[in-house]
Amino acid sequence: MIKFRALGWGQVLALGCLTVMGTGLAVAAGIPPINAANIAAGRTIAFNKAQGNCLACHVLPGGVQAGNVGPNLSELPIHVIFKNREKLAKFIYDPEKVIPHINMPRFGKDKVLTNHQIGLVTDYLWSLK
Amino acid sequence: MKKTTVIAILTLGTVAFGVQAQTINWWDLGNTKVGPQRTLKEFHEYFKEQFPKMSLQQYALGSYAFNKGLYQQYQEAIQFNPGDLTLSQGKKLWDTKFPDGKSYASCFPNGGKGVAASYPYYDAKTHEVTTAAMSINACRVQNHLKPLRYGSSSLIALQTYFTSLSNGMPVDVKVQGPGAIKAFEEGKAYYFMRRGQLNFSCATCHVAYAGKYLRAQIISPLLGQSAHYPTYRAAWGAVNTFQKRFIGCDKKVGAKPEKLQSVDYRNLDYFMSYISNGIKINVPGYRP
Repeated sequence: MIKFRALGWGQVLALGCLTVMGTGLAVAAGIPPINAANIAAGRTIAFNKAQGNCLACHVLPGGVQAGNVGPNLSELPIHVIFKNREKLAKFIYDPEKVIPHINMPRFGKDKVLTNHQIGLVTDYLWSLK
Repeated sequence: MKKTTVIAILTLGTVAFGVQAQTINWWDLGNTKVGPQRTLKEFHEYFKEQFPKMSLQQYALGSYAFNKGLYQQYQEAIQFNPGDLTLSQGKKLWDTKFPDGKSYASCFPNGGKGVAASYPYYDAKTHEVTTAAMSINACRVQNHLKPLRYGSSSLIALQTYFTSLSNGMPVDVKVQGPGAIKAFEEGKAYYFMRRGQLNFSCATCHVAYAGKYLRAQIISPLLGQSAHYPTYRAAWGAVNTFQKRFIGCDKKVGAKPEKLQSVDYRNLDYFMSYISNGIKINVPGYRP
């Protein structure tokens, strides 16, 4: 019997732990200092259907009608996986560079969001406990 | 190293590789060329593993098969499917005699009954996939009338009625011969090709994440999608075609949509319809 499987979250987590190389010095430079205003702005982008629309695929704290095709970001140990904000920002910029064939938009590379917006979303995600 | 040891290691390696090859995920479904019959079998097995309790016929319900509350809404909605208005318009057009005294029914075997179940089909003479819209227009031209514009309300109504003449019959698309197989494989490649600003393929959602939620929307599986088109979509407020939905999907992922009846869209239609073989046709369908 042929066994079918989708990419498991375990793999996603494991791959997510890989060191991100190369991409996005500009992204890292775009990361603003963490403060409440930036976190709030990042949350707005993440929730906005015309911008990040993270809720389309991910559960986020306080988000309504969230999708479930991606990991639940209210539970995912983001700090453990990404180690620092720069790596998280680079991941959002081009997730495929870290996890080949991942089903996630390349928010920076394909210009869905600006580097500045990715920085704000990074701050918001980093603030999740 | 002894020769026997080398052979043993090679054999073990082959066995291990063989076991590895048996493990197929959704990505492999799109990236291995195994011919239409095995592709269909593997897709059906894939969905069976994803949703063991779902019968093949339940896939005709699309996303409604995944949520009881939504299914109840669907049952209420189809009591008076607004799409039936388009169906009756199509019947009226279908029954209207051409100036030469013939009609659409005279262009098809058995007056068109059961014909659409095998659509689209690969025409070995023209070397291309032929759709219902093309055959309806060819019928008009044969009878000295101008073809209708693809996407026009009259043609949509005619496509709806023509397809409804196969209601209750299982989709039965044939892929036979090298030309047909090539068209099928090209349709499959289109289905799995990432595109647009969001970098999604059709398969990203409708194979990998079928049954899951994108915001509040349940993602319908590939299986069964062709069997209810032309369909009434509340989002459109009208009946429209399978290929019109392709345009919508392409736009959603930020890709430039193709024109109705483009070669790519016809091949895509061909691939998707073939994968739905065995699922009963129910046209016009109703969707949110």
